[in-house]
Amino acid sequence: MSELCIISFPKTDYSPIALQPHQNLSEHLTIQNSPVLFGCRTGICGTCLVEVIGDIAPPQADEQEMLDTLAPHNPNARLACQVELTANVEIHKIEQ
Amino acid sequence: METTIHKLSDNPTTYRKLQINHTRNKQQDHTALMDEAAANFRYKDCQDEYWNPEEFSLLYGTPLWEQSTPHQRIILNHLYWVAYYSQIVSAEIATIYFNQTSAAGLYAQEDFRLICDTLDLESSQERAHINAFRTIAKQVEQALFGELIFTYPMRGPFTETMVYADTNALKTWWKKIQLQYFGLISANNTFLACQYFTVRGVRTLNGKLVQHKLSNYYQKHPHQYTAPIPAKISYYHFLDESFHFNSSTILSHDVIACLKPPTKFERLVANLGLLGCQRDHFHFSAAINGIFWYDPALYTKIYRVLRSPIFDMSERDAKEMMRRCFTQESEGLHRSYLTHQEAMQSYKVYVEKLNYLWRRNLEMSLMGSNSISRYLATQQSAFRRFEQHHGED
Ligand code: FES
Repeated sequence: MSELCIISFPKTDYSPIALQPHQNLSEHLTIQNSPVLFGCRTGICGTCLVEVIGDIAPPQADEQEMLDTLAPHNPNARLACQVELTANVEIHKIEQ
Repeated sequence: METTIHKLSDNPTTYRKLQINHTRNKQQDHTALMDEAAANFRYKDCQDEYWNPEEFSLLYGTPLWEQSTPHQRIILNHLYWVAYYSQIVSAEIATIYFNQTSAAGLYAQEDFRLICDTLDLESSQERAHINAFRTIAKQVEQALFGELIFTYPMRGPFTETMVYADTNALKTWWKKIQLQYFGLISANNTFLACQYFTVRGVRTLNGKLVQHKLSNYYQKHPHQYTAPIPAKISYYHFLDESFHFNSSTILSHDVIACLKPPTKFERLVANLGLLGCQRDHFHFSAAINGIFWYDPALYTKIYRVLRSPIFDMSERDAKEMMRRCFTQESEGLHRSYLTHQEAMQSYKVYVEKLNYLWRRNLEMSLMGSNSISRYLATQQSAFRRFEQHHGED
């Protein structure tokens, strides 16, 4: 079995969550167990815009197009619903 | 004299968001696929398999579910689909109407054509969704029962879109007047036209909680090509609605911020609209997780299902089963309550930056005042009335 990835939410009261690699964050994080709100869940609306610190693959072109509009100056900004989970990550909310 | 004309495109980020949303929705439009899938639907081709994840079955996790045979469980799974999307049909009819009135209110501004084109595209998608949902639901109910149970005739946008708490003619009339009035004024008021999208956004946000799970069933299906057509339609619908949710968010969060602050009257109407939404979403249902129906309004429908040859229960057994399902705690009831809680928390975050909202809308306190014990108390008295009035068939 592959090792679990730990998703943590520093500077919040939310406990870390352990998931299998490649699991879809929007199926496991809710507004009750994390600071992330998922709206569309398909990478278009930006409600799940967060800063992700960790060793994960860079965004695909569609996600990048949204990030260029939503957070052009933040290189760590990601859409949580589009992240391919392969390592431990820290998630920080971006105040918009 | 003020001569500068303020244009929406003066806000490049908002305008860019609108452009991406419209362009991608046009490119990925599922209308043709949806129409084709609905036209190819034959109940007998997929009547022996699930269409949703198991937990999205009518009365899942209640005593009825526990004692159902595998065949009956499959039917409860199909009936969830039928009942769920019958509700969505009503919501989409209302959306088509308010998209039009809001577009009128928005088009009066410089540069708002892009928004109006987006809303037109969305309305045409809603019509394809409605066609697909009704084609399938009617065929299924005719095949199973020889009559329609959860499916109801097409209705206008001012009719209740939810199954409501015991209403009466006066309340129904008043609600209709309010909706008509809102349509009329939002067609001539840009702030209220945008505010409509707060309500639409909240409702879609709620839909997404469940529709994401329904769409996953198709997405993760081991043989997508032969997957049941209703599951495929859930998936297409989910993808279209993602764009609709996004336009609601841009209009209610970003475009609204480009306008003058609301007047007292606009604030009042906006808050009443959201309060109405909280009222619509006050209940949760043991029968159907994810739609905030008032269960006593479903008693006669569930009774017909239990008395049909599929469950073949006697009058006494059907009522006893309903009493256990609706008036006692069950896993199914707790699951629905959790969905209700998650929806409420999500709404709060969704509206938290809208500074013209009343505290009880920001805190969703009306919706938050429901609970499992309140649910059970309501059902216990409603069920007594049902038993008394529903004597011999
Ligand atoms: S939830 Fe909409 S972009 Fe992620």
